[in-house]
Amino acid sequence: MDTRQPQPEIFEIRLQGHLDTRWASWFDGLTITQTEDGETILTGSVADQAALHGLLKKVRDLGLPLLSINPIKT
Amino acid sequence: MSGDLLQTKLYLPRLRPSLVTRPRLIKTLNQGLAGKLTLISAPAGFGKTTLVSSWLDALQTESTAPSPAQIAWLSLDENDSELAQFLSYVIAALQRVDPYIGASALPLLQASPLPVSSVLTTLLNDIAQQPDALMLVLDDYHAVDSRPIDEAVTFLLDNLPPQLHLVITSREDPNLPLARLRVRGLLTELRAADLRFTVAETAVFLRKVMGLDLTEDQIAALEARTEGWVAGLQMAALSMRGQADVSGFVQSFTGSHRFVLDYLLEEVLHQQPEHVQEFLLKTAVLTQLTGSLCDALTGDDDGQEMLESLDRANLFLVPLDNERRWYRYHHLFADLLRQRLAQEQPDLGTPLHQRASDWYAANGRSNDAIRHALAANDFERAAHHMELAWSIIYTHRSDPWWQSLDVLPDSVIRLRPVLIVSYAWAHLIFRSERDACERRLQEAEQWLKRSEAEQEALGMVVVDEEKFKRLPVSIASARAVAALVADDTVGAIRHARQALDLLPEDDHLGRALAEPILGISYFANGALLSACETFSNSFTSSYGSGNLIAAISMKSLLADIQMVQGRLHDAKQTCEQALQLVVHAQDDLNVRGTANLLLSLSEIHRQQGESKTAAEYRQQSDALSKQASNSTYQYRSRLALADRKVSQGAFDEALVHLDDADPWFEQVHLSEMRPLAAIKAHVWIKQGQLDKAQTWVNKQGFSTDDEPSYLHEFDYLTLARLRIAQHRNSHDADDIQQTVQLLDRLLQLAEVEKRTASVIKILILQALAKEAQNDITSALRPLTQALTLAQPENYVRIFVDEGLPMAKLLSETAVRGIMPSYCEDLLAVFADEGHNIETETSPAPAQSLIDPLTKREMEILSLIATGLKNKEIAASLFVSVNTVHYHTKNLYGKLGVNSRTQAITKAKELDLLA
Repeated sequence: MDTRQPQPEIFEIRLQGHLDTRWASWFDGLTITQTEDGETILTGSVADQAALHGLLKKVRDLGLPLLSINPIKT
Repeated sequence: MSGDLLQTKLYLPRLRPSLVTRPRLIKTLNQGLAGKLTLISAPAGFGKTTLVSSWLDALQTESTAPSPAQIAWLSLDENDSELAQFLSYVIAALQRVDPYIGASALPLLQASPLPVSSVLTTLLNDIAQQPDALMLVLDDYHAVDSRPIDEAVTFLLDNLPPQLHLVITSREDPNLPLARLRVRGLLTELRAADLRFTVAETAVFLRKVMGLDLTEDQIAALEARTEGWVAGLQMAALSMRGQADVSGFVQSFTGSHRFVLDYLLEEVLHQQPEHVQEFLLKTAVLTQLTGSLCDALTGDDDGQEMLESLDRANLFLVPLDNERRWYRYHHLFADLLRQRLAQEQPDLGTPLHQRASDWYAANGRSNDAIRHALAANDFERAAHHMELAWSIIYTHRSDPWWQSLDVLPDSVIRLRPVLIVSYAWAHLIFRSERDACERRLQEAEQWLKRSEAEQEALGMVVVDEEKFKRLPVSIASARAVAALVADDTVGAIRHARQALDLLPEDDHLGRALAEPILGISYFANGALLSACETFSNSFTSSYGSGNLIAAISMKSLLADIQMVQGRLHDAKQTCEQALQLVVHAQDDLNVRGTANLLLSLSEIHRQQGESKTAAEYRQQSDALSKQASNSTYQYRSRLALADRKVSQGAFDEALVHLDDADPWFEQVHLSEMRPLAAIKAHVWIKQGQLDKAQTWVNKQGFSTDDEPSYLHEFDYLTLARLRIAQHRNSHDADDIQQTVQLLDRLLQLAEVEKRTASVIKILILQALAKEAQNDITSALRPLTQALTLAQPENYVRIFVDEGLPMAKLLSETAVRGIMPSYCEDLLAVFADEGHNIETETSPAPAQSLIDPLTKREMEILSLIATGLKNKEIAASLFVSVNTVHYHTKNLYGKLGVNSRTQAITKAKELDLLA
């Protein structure tokens, strides 16, 4: 495998508050999951660092309180 | 450029009459004025912009406010991420306070590459001259996500004049040296925690501003649920307005885990009638809203009423001017609406952007038309508007036109010959990419070679038929300019002539573009008579067709040529005629050309020794240039200043002014005829810094054996000066002989082309070369010729600027009865300016040497002091004459002198000679 090619990674972005699932397309098709303790988890593959920063910008621009971002080992 | 700037971005947002006053925050902001930067950094919807505008409003209106400041406001958005565009807006914002700020920096913004530090330095200098305190507000700084802009703002902060205070609002901490400013107490910050509404503020907001009747408990619950986030509070208030059961609403809202805005948007929209919801969703794609634009998107005709009623209902609409014409949605609200539009009517985004694009095109805002076409991913439409919008004169590198250049797919471009040629020009002008330009030109020519049937079969697209008709002219003109850029003056003439041959006599507009290119090509080639004829023709056709601006600039160029031809009287007259035209035109646009004309007049009078008149013209041109100026003026005025400093013997100051001129060099036509590097070398020679001048020669690779062209005449004259100065030190016979031959060749060329000013200069240098060889009799021959040519035109400076050796030669000439009265006049100027044989050559005041002399240099210095010649010194030290030259040159450099006599005097002052 050519390791220089950026491999899409799966990321998990946790937000404070419940975000409706209809926002999925706004967040480039990430899956939206609502937890019982009032958090939202956005999960999905992110092409590269630039794409990740683009997502974070969308979170910022909606004023969504960001809790954590984690890559998920596959 | 300023015509394309959106003035609405420069308005301080208008305040609602009933706002929550926040004295604790205002107090912090007032105290922060003592520092350099105030940063309001918090997520979307925290009321950053509202806070700043209410603070500024208080500063301007309340008598108790500390030091009322003038305010420059700039609302930023994603389209401002290009540095040149960002700086254009910053300057435009500052110019609303004082139109002089940035006047000289503006033309620099067209330069490629952008001379960032020069732009910023001139801008800071302008600000530093402001009598009053000034505030620059950069609202929504997060929108410009650009490293170069961060660096530019950092530079501004690092060099901030005391008059200026910077205020930045942003959703994220900007990439500026915040820690450094914080440590030095120069930064005031308000963050989310500060901006959150307290329970008391929440109560005032909900009761007074939103007119709701709520209990203390309900207010506390809402405050807790929204955490004092004003966007959430406002949405909650809007939701409650139509609710019969307010307490039920508060209960279910505060009990919900749902994201506050997500929850509330539905509630708010739900409160609105169907057609209002529709209006909000459809117009959400716009970054700015006005009645007729909204109508174009909705298909209705109540846009203006809708906007006013939304404004009254407090529905997140921000007015952008005082006439209630332009608005924008609160950014956060717009994002929510756009998401909803994409969700509910996914197919509607594209046609909405297309309609917006068409509206902007119809209203003459091509940049926005292009932007919306691109947002619709409608590249054909974007290409259509780009083809119509392109203009060699009016399209700037900061426009979206240029930014979209890399976005359009080639499949769209290659069918459009007119757009292809625009791209060719853009590559040439904005990026200096001559190869890319030529490739595009050939691509366009392919289309032109095809028959109409073939063009149609291949799907050629032409939007602008007028431009298409002139395409061969445009192609030839582009090639001429490309050739000029490459110093290929012959090629430039050929292409420019071709362009003109293709134009009908009565196509004045086309000729007004092509003729100057031909004239300048002739000028650069040294073919002055042809250049004169071209500029005269162009003047006649421009004047005839009422294009006064072009007519005046032709007169200006004509005067430049007459100066090279040594026709100072004619040049003066030409300038005066052009000024008459300006008076008749009474058009502000002519002010730029006027400053140049006045500068030319000032230079001619100075050359003729009429320094008082020269100064008057200079003052007039300076005054005008503050209102409007262009690169040519900025460049030439600095050069003229440096020339004056050289005349005064203030060489270091002259060098500073030459450095100042550097940013404009690339942008000014024909500046390479008198390159800055050569002028600096000239100053170094006058200063006696021959080593530095020699380094310039080495770097350029000039040699006295070269076959010089007119374009490089000044370079070679400077080389000749250097060799003459070096000869005064070394007395190398071969070198000076080669220099004399070089001057002969230059003279021949100048005589053939009837460039009398050049002829006079070269004759003067020939005389000085002979003088350096102590051959006074031979020196007087070329000098007499020079005087004969110069007298009818009253030349003065051309002689006087040569200093002492020239004074000696002139008195010698006068003694021999050659043109005695002219010589006496010139010598009188020498005397007036305090030139005196004793002081002229005396070295700078004594100072201890930074770089001490070596043992060998000391030896040679003491031998020089005994009066030995170089050959004798070489013999006594058993070294070659070249070695002696080498050491002599070094010790002269260390002593800061350029002759044996000076070296001895200096050595005595420094007590170096035992």
